[in-house]
Amino acid sequence: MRRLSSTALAVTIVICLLLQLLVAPHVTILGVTPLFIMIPVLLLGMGHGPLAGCLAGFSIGLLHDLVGSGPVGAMALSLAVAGYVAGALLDGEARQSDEFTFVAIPLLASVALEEVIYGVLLLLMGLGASVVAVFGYRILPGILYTGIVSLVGLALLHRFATSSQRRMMNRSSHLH
Amino acid sequence: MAFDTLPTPSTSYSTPSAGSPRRRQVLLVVLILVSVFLMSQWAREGDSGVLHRIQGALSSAVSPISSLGARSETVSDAASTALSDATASDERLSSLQEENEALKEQVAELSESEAQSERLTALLDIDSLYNLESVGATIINRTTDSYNRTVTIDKGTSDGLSVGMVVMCANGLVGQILSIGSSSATVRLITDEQSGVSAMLQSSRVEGVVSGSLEGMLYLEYIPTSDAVGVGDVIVTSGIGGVYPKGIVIGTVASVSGSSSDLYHTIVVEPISAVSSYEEVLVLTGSQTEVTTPTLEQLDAVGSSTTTDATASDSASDNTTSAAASDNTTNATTTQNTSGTTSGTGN
Repeated sequence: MRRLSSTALAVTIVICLLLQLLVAPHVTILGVTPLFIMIPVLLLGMGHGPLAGCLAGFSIGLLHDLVGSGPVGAMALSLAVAGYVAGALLDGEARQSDEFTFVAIPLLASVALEEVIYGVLLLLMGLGASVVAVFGYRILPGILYTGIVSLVGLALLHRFATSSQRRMMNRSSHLH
Repeated sequence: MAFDTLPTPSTSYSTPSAGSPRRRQVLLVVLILVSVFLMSQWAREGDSGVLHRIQGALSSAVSPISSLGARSETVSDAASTALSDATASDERLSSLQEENEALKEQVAELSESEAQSERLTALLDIDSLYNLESVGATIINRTTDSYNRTVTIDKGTSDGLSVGMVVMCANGLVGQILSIGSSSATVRLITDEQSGVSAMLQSSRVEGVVSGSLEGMLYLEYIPTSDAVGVGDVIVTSGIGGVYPKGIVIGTVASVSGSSSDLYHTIVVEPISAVSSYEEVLVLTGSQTEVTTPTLEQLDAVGSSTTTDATASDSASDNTTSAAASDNTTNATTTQNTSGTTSGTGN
């Protein structure tokens, strides 16, 4: 999984926050809204390790909670755990690899964990729906939708980072 | 934008930011504890608490950005038109085509203005139909997550609005203000899973609660199986709780199920207002406890001028028409005589 520079990371975070705020409400399918903010959390977790993933997840999740209407802290907790797990599941060798295929399983596991934790937290906080309804109508479709969005988002970023590095290497070889 | 990559370490896979496993685990536990503390504080403090106020202020602060999302469809349409224009060669674009495009744009603008005019006229009609004291507002954004059914409107405390005020669209109930900033407010829709509206069947006056659900359906709950309920029966607010004025039309009965051994019917409600079809709403600012319930034909006439696309609304209109034919109790002026609670969990 390619790592991005801090500038590129900051740009990615801002873009994903804007996507969540502006685009997500308009691409809801059967009541399920994709979680674009999962992308920078996964990016940091897989690229920089569990600590970065955990901190990024907490910060971005808290921001999402504060501009939304749900319970404050719920998204922060679920994204912090997801970011941590994303980093922990991708070992050091895979983290430095150019292969993108290593990413799929940790990505889906993290997305699934985030959706389950958030759904369970809302149930514990008094969401009046049944466990079956929450899993059937929100968690499982949410895993699928956010999983696909995250996979596509990370693949695009990975490809972009790889081509950028190639360009830089070509430029430096020309200079020598 | 430079997405340059960081240099790859040649000897070790650990990075300075990775930290020791122990340190990482401690941090994770600390963050989880902080989150749990925030959640418990948020649940305990109520609408006037610090976290709710911060939420309201931040929602208000980002509302100008959110409103861009509402215009995104128009922008994307314009962008695609501009792109197709840009890719066409000059030879192929004759002056007549340009003129045609300009005329098309004018027609589109006029159509948009006409549609807006019709929507605003419908709101004025509903205002006079129900005899309401209200403030008009525009929906600038919709919910950003899967668990809440909310919309953001462009009016706030500076326009005299406050938490708990009732919101309506051109032909029925929309919801209630959940949180508010100076220039925007978040409205919880009646289709939200945590929403609950005390309601009654207009014909039999049997009272229950209309609740939203995760699957997006509206249910009328707590109607005993001993009471007869028919498809097409009109459901109005009962006024119990003092939140929603008595007599506002919510919808009609779409289906009734349940066996005689059940305590309550399972009643699916077809909402009379499809909020996804509307861009403007009314916020009730007065302290009305009663409204004059209009006939369903009147509501249909108002709704049909604004609703163009929703299949659900079409079927709702069918139901309401048949209900109106069999029900002679509409257009009754109702008065509130009781009080209680209506809000759902978490409110």
